[in-house]
This record gives sequence, structure tokens and C-alpha cells, in this order.
Amino acid sequence: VSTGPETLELPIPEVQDRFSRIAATAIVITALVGAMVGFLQARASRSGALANIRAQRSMVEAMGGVLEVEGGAATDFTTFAATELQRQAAASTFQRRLFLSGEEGLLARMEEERHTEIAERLQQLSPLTPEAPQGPERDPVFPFRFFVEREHEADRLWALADAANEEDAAWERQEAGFTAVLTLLAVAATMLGLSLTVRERVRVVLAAVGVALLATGAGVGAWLGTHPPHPAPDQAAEAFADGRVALKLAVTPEDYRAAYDHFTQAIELRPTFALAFVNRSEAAFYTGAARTTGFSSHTSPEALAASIADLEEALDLGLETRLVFGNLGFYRFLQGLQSSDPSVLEEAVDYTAAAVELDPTDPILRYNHAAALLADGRIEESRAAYREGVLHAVYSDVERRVKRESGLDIQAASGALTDLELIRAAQPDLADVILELKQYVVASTTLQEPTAPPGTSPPASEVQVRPFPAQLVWESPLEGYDSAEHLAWVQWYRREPTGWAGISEVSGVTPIGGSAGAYFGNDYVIQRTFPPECVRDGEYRVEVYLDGHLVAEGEAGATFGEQEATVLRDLNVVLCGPPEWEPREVVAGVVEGAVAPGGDEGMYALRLESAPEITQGWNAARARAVVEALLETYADQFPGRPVFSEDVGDDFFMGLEGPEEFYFRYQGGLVYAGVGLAEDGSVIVGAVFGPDERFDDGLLQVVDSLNLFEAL
Amino acid sequence: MLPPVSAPDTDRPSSRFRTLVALAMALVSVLSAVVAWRAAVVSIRASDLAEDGMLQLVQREQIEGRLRAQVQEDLRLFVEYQEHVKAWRLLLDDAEEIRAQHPDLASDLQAEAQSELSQARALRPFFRTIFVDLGNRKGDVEFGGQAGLEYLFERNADLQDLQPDVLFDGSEREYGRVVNLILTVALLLTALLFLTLAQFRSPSTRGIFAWAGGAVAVAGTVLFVVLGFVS
Repeated sequence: VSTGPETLELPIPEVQDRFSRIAATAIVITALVGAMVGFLQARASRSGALANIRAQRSMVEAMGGVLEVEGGAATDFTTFAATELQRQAAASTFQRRLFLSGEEGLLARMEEERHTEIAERLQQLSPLTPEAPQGPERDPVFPFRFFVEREHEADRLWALADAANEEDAAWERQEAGFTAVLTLLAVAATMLGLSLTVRERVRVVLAAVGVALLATGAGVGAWLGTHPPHPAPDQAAEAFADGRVALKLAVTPEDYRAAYDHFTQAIELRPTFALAFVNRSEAAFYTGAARTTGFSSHTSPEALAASIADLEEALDLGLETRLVFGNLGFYRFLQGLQSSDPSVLEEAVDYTAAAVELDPTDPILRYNHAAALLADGRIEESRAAYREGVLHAVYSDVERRVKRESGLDIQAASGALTDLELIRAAQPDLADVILELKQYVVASTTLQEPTAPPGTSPPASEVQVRPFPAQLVWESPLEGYDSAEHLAWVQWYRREPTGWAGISEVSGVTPIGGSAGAYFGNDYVIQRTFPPECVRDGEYRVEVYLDGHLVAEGEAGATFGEQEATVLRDLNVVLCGPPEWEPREVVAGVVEGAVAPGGDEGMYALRLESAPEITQGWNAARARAVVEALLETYADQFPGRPVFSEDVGDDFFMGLEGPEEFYFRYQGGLVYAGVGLAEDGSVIVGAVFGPDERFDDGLLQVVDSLNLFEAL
Repeated sequence: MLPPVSAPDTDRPSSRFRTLVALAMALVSVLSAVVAWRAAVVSIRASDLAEDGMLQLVQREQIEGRLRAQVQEDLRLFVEYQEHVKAWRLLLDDAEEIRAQHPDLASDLQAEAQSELSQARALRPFFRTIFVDLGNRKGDVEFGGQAGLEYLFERNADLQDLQPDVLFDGSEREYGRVVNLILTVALLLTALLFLTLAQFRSPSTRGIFAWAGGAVAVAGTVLFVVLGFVS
């Protein structure tokens, strides 16, 4: 009995030994690989920690840097304001001096000189000047450019923080990879160890699995070790910040193209820069947009595709924000309408729903979701979504207790009407539903509660549309209109290649002028757009709603050629003139204008502080005397000395009181001069001049465009 | 003494059984490694979300602070503006009051009033948030600071897109998943223990351990499928 085991053990130990040696060696190799992977994991952990510290440091530096930059900007701005106050005081004294003589005149001159000298000294303390690109003479939306340019550093620092954060995450992912490899190796060691404890052929299976896991772990570990994350170059943040500034200041498609190029550079330097993709998407959209300021719902199919591609890239990179979902949803909606592809509209519904989920209080997102549902044929769901949109437009909080004061409800409603117009253009069979929904949105926004238009509709009326260079005007008898009973909503549209696009800036609840049988509305595009815009060539349409009932709609074309808005901030005057005209300051705060480079045509505005000597007993003769005196005083600013020619009448001039208009003549040209009294009692004169033939070809448009910048 | 005849017969099923159990052990081991890796990935995602949330929170505070400061700047300017507008109206009223008896003095007051008005007008371009007019007949101007701030908050696309709370919620959710995935790993390791016992225990009990191991492994696998890929 005792020899039995010996005879059995003789051949087996040899086999077992060979197998055991191999298995034991494999276990040792597994341990060795594990140690190396452990080292790599520790390295990844250290690098991740360092990146995390960099991210936090960048965040703190960004906070501090932003405070410093903004503090400095505020100081420069305040100093410049003090400078301008002194300049204004000097200008005011100068005007007073015009009517004084003797000792009083001498005192006024000395006072003017004092203010001027103080202004000069203060100006030395601020880099901001009136004629700087960021100054009030060159920036029509002063001080927007000044502050946006100062935001560059903040954007750069945030981009650096974002890059460090991303690098930290990449190291963490690598660390996780190593953890997985270590787990695999542990399992491999277990399998190999287990294979030593059994005799049957199963040990071969266990050993084979162990070796396979070892090989896999070693391979993955080697791949991870040779592919560490790389920090993004700082230039990517610089290019991103450049793009942000360019995007915020962009007005023309070329400006948007420049912003697009900056973001492209940032992406090339850091291909995983999700925020750069989102910003480039916006720039891409506007490179093809028919309207590049304010809100636009229209762009070329190419620009739309590029925008969508960038947003999808951002989404793939993990940026799941309301902006990404919201824009992707809206762009898919536009694309779905252009292509009539139901699957694209389905995507639009899903994306807009995701955006609404992220921000349930934003009425624009809700209206976009409702529009996507409608375009997708889900009419009842769309009606419900519009109801939700209206509620969130009227109230700013989720509980719907606090009403909005910011005007977002009106802007959102105008956008909603644009979406509905787009659907109507693409799916004419929905016209009845669209009219119902438009009236619902308008009635609810006008009356500040979700409601269909109440009562019976007043009868439909004819409406005449009259575009002017700086304003859109409509005239209608508006039968049944009662100012005590009805609230009016005027909605303006401009025809874009894909349909009518609402002009939200001049749309909304508005007072109506005129009297029974002859009502009208003046909507000054130049006053309400940012930056100020003139009326562009194209077709315009107006819809007039009374308590939400659509009672009048009409269209007309505008052909003014290329014109550009000029804002004379000190004088509170705006005009639309040829793009080549340049701002000119003759006497700051008194005489300023815009003149062609050759000086042969242009416009001057003059403002005189109210003086009883001038304004008391204001009439045509007094008005003519003032204009003659001023033109005589500044005759050297015109191509020739203006001499009175003709009294045009007293119809309307810039909405001023006591308007009077005259023609003056100089050799080879004309001066149109209008004058009137502003609400604050000051006298405002506008003088447009140029060769006779130009008055038949453009200069009268400039006269029509003259207006107060703010209705003061 | 010869060995029992039946001995080889009981060993054959035992060999198959052990092979199957060994294969199950290998599978469960690999699966637990995958689950552990998945837990690590989810944990990192949770950590990423928390870090992004923190970045957004700081960024949001910075933007909100900047916009509030902008309105405060307007308020400081508004005080000066209101002084000038009020002085303009009061001086005009005074001028009208004495014009009949003292016309020259009235003219001086009116000139002074104009000077105040021009100072007020010079301040207007420097308001960045609110729109200011000349107020009512008494020269009282409304300061729409709250509406202005609401306007700034609603129109700031950067601010609108910063939702740190959403990210923090997401992070919390992901951390919850990590806990559940680790629980799954524990289940799979329990299954492994049962299978190991099945491998070494006597024929009378190994079947029970094998079944228990299999059942726990299946439960762990189901739990992983539910937790591991559903966010």
C-alpha cells in the first residue's frame, strides 16, 4: 500500500514541474508587469494632480485677473466720463459766450478755457479718448467695444483653466485605464495560481486564461504608457480669446469670418476644445446669415451645415449644455424645413426637448421646441408646448409668480412668430394652425396671460407700408380700433431667402398715432437696433394685431442703396448716410457731423443749449435767423458760403417742436437745413449739403433719416 | 487490494464539472475586472462633472459679480445724473417764478439750468445698463436697476449656459452609480468565492456552491448591465 503513491508520483512531478515552472514564471512576469503598470499609474496620478492644481490656479488667477482688469477699465471709464463732462461744460460755456459781450463775454471765455484745460489734464489720465476706436466718436455703441476688448484677458484665463481641467480629466482616465489593467493582472495571477492547485486538464484552461489576461494587460498598459495626455499649448487660449472678442464685436459677415478663423486656429492647436467648437458654430452661422446683428433665423445651407457639425463635435466632446442642445435643436429645425426630412425634424424635437429640460424657464427654448413639434406634424403637442412657452415668457420663475420686466417675453414672441412664418413657408398646408398659434402667442404676450384673442375680432383693414431710410412706417384706417379698449401689437418682418424673418427690435406692444380712420406707427430701426442699423434694401411686411386679433397686414419694398448709421452721441443725433462718410467734430458737443472724404458732401448737426434770447417766441423768422447765423459762423465747413434760398415749410423735422426747413445755396451745391426745439429746450439744426444732382440721388434720403438717437 | 470499480465513473463527471466551474471562475473574474474598470470610469466622470461644475460655479459668480458691479456703476453715475436733472428743473422753476420781477436774474438762472442739463446729457452715454430720461415734471428720474440687471442676466449667453447645479447633480448621480457598481463587484467576488469552494469541496456540497456561485454571478451580471450602461 505504501508503494502505491510512489509509483503514481513518478511521471507526474516532471510534467507538473514543467507546467509549474511555466506558471510560476508567468506569475512572476505578471507581478513585474503589475509593478510597471503601478509605476505608470502613479505617474499618471501625479500628472493629473499637477494639472488639477494648474486648473485651480488658472481659475483663481482668472478671478483675480478679471477683477484687476475690470477695476482698471472702470477707472479709465470713470476718468474719461469726468473728461467728457469738462468738455461738455466748455462747449456749453462756448455757446453761452456767443450771446455775451463785454466783461460777461470775457468771463465766459475764461471759464471755457478753464474747463478745456481741466479736460486736457484729465484726458492724460485715461487711455480712452473720444476719437479712439473704442471712443464715442468711432464706436456707435460706446462703450461696448471698450469693455469687450478688456474681457480678452478673462476669456484667455478661463480657456487656460478649461484646458488644464481637460488635461486633468485625461490623466484621470489614464489612471482608470491603469487600474483596469492592474485588475486584469490580478485576475491573471489568480488564474495562474489556481492552475497550480488542480491536476486535471482544467489547469491548462486556467493557465491559458491567465496568460491571455496577462498579455492583454501588458499590451493595454504599454499602449497607455506610450500615449500620455499632452497639455494644450497656451496659444490655443490666446486664439480663443481673440475669437471671442472678434465674435462679440462682429457686425458684418467678414467680421464673423475673422472670428471663425480665430476659433479654427484654437481648434487646430487643441482639437478637443469643445468651447471653441461652440463659438465657431455661432460664427459659422452668421457668415451665411442674411442679417448679422440682433437675432437671425436665416442662413445659407452651407453655413447651417458647418454650424451643426461644430455643435455635434462639441457634443461628442462631452459638452452637454443648454446652448449646445438649444442651438443644435434650432439649427436642425431650420435644416429640417430646408430639406423636408422628417428624421431631421425628429432630431430637432429631441434636442430642443433636452435644452428645455436643462433650462425650463427660458421661453425661447420652449418656443423653439414648440415650433419643432409643429414642423414635425405633432400639432396637439405643439399647442401644449406653446402654452408652456407663453407661461415662461410672461413669468421669469419656475413657480410662475414673478413677471418679467426685461422685455424678453416680447423678444421671444417675435422669434416665435418668425419660426411660425418659416414653417408656413415650408408647409403651406399648416397655414390655419399657424395663424391660430400666432394669434395665441401675440394675445398672450400682449395681455400677459395665456389666452386666445378675447372677444370678436375687429374687421380687417387695409394697411400701407412705407419704409424710410431709418424707420418703418405703416398707415391704416384700423376699423374698429379703440385706443381705450385695445392693445396693439405691431410685428415687422423682412423677407429673407427662406421666408419672412421677424424684426424683434421694432416689434411688440406699441402706441399707435393718428386718429379715427387714419392711424399710423413709426418704428425707428436706427434707434432700436444694436449696433444702430439703417433700413436695408428688401421687402418688408407688417402685421397689426389688436388684443391678439390679426386685423391688418401689408408689404412694401425698400430701395435705399447701401447706407450706414452714424451716431453723434454728444448731440443725440443719428443719420443714415453713404458708408464712405466719416465722422467729423467741428466743436465738440456743438457742431459735429459726417462728411465725405473729399468734403464735397456731408451732414452737420448743431445743438444750441436753450437760451431765452433764442427760444422765446420761436417762429419761422426766428428759426431762419438762427440757421443763417449758424451757417454763417461755420461757413468754412461747407464747400462754399451758404446763402438763403428757399423756405421749405414746417412739416416735420426729427420729431422736434416748431420744425422749420430751408434750402441754402452755394456755388455748385445746396444745403438743406432743418431746425426745431428738443424736449429739453435746446435748438437742434441738421444741415445736409452736396452738389445739386446728389439731392436727386441720395442726399434727400439722408434728410429723411435724421433723427434723435434717444427720444429725449 | 483493487480500487473500487466505480471510482473512474465518479471522477469523469467530476472532471467536466471542474472544467465548467473553472471556466465560470475565469468568466466571473474577467467580468469583475470589467465592472471594476467601469466603476473607475464612472467615478472619473463623476469627478470630471464636479470639477467642471466648480469651474462653472466660479465663472458664473464672476460674471454675475461683473454684471452687478455694472449696475452699481450705473447707480453711482445715476446719483450725479439725478442731481443735475433735478437742479435743471428747480432752476427753471425758480427762473419762471421771478421772471416777471427780475428778468435778468431769471435769465441767469435759466443759463445755469441749461448748464446743469448739459452736464446731465453729457453723462448719459456713460450709462451701460439702464436707460435714463429727463424724469417727470419735478425732475425725478426712475432708476431701473432691477429691470436692468434682469435684462443683463437674461441676455448674457455665457451666463445662461453656465449651469453648475446641473453638473453637480450629474456628479452626484454618477457617484451613486459608482457605489452600485462596487456593490456589483462585491457580488461577483462572492460568486467567485462560491465557485472556488465548488472547485475544492467534496462532491456532496460542491453542487450547492456551484449553483449558488452561478446564481450570484448571474445577479451580478444583470445588475452590471442595468447599472453599467444606463446613465
